[in-house]
Amino acid sequence: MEELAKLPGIGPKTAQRLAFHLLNSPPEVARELAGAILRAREVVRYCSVCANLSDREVCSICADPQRDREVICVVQEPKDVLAMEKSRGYNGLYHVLQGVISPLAGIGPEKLTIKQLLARLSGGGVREVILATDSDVEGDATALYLARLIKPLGIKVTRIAHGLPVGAHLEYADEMTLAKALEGRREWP
Amino acid sequence: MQVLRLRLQNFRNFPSLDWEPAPEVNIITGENAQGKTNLLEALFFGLTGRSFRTATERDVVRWGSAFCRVELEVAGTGRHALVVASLTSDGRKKLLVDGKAGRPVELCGEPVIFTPEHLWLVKGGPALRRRWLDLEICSLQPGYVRCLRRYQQVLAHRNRLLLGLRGREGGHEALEPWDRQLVELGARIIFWRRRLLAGFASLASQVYSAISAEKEVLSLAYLSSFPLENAREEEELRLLFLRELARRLPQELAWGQTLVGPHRDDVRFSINGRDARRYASLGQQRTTVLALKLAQLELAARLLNCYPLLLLDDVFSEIDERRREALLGYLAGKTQVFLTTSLERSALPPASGCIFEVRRSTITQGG
Repeated sequence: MEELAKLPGIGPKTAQRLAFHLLNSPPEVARELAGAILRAREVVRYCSVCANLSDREVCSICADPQRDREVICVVQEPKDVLAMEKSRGYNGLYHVLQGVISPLAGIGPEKLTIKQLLARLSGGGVREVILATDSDVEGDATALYLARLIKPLGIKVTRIAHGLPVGAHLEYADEMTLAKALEGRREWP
Repeated sequence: MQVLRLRLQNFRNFPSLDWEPAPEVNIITGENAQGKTNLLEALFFGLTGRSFRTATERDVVRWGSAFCRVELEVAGTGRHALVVASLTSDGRKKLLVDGKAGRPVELCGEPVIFTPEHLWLVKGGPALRRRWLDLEICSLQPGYVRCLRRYQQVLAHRNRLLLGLRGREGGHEALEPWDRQLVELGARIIFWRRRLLAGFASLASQVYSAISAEKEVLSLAYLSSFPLENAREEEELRLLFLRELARRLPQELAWGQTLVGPHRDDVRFSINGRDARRYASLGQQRTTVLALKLAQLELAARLLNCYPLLLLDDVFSEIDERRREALLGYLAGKTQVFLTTSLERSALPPASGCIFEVRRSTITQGG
């Protein structure tokens, strides 16, 4: 129970429920779960190209010949790739930074996968880099830092738009969000 | 905005109270420790659900009681409402407007309050004046809080970086993404602060002249940690800020700290051209804070199209008779005012308002 409660998002009550469930189920259930966790832990590593989590040397996205290799979307964490993929609105490649620049947390650019990203870009063939870090101060700082490194390479740099959620009413948006949304406006239609 | 009736249950030293205040100036007299300030606190609590005196709100519940309740009949702009605020001794709070959960301040604005503690505005350190200014802006400009918070975060990151770079060669390019954000947010903060102060300045000096019979002039100035020249727009402020950051970089690296920006700014109050923080007498300090509060009242009135409630705690001490009279003259016919004083009735200016006396947790009208 205590081991389960150490996992993120699991409190003492949930840990108790999971533990009792596992103890009440047939032994195979526990064995399969344990096996799956172990296999995943042994097999999963970082993709050698984009630093996303992968069960192979090169992840399935990087290896997919259908994807647009001229665009790279830079995100903070593997879970951001999942979110983008769920949207099905993006067909380019990714690069996972494994974090953001945060002097307070002792994380400088050298602790992120920025060197790998620059190596990828200097290989040529990339037309656009989309910076999709979060819009907090660390995310913005990281995006600004990357933009300054990438622009001189002659590659187009864009920042993902921040503003109103789809379907939102203007009256409910706070002023900062509205200001950002206004800043990021574009010609229409 | 007007309070027609105030009913209390177990609030501070009042087991129960039912009071119909006058529509204009209410002067609450009484000896010390009778509950004069508690009455102002009750009015403030009823409208905001907060106390202006204590961080531990439960203190307002009468000692030994399970709950307290403040009930206000108010008349706002063309509308009557019954406002009820209650708090249990274990900290559960409820704010009701006509029986439904609501925010009374939306109806009648945040009450403007003066207490003797507010004298720190003149005498205290710059951080207190910045905080005052920021709070005022927050109530007018909803996005400002977020801007301030982001500025503090960027500042903390940047200071950490500077500390790390101290005594080392190079590596300064790591500051760049933080500088850009610092300058953008900082310029916005300075822009808003100066704009608010400009609005305050003319009002406050008008009020000050009205109260100080001897024609003293109060002026307010924003003191920036870098020369603002004649910059008006945010864009110009950004450029000046950036230029100053570049100029001060060697010093910042030596100190390991960000030395310029709105976090080091201040507001200066001067009376007849002399810095009030250093030279003002107690009476002048009090008049200065009073002028600021009344300016705030006027600003709020413009915004709301009606005056919010004005609460003045122990406002008469340290100011002379002429100023007392001038203050009451200024307030007459403006809005409903609640004013406490421990002065004897005979010491009050004649025909100054409706006088009440608080004594051992009861209130009586006294002529």
